[in-house]
Amino acid sequence: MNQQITPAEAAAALTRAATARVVSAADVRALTAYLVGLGAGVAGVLAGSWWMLSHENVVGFAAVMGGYGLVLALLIGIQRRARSTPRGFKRIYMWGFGATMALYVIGVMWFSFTRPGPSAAAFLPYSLLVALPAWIAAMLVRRAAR
Amino acid sequence: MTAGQHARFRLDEVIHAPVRFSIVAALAQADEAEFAAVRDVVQVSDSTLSKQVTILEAAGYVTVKKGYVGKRPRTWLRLSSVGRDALDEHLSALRAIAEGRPAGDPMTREQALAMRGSYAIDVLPPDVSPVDHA
Repeated sequence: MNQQITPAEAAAALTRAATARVVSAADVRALTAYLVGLGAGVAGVLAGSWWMLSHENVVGFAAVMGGYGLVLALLIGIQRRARSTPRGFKRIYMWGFGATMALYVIGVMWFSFTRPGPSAAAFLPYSLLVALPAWIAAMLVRRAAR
Repeated sequence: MTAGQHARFRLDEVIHAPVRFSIVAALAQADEAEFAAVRDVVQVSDSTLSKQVTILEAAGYVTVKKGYVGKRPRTWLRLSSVGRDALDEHLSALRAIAEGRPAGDPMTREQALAMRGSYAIDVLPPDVSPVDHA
């Protein structure tokens, strides 16, 4: 191949490449909102389940799970608005979501298999900790899109 | 590249076409992007984008995935690792040409110092405004 190209044309092409952006601010907002909401939702369902089951309120527990289902449906709707994902999104998402879900499972096992169950002073901060990986993932997605 | 050969010989024939270059450059920033998002960024018609993506797909540079979001059909585009490597090589050749190192020689210390800071602005010759290419 023998392409004729001047230094100015090469520089212009490099500038075009450096400024090409398919990931929009709206895409990043949708993806970060999804991750922040997911973390909050999982933390909420863990704390709610613990509270309802420790008070033997099965109806309340069902309401918590139903509410989580609705929140999840809403979040998926928000996430689908994103028309593109920044480079590294899948890896960041898998890490954040995976870690949050792993902490959730540990939390469920904690209040299910320990007698007496955990105190509110211990379990509510732990529920917040469950949300943390998803929230960190949201920050990393925002940074990846810069 | 053979020593002393002009950097233009390293330019990728598939990527060098302006529309395909824009598509590949846009996809390089993303994991994947919807067909419509790329169309809007590159500012071409559906049929033009479709034709250029077919060429990129045949070269193994772009992968195309079709699916649905709800009931709406969607097409997602992704730059393959082969495409990413080809773009890197193409950009390297462009840099060598823009920096006045057509044979791909290493930069002199003076050239390296002149290149510090924002590349896209610094490489422009004095008679070219960066605004013209934004």
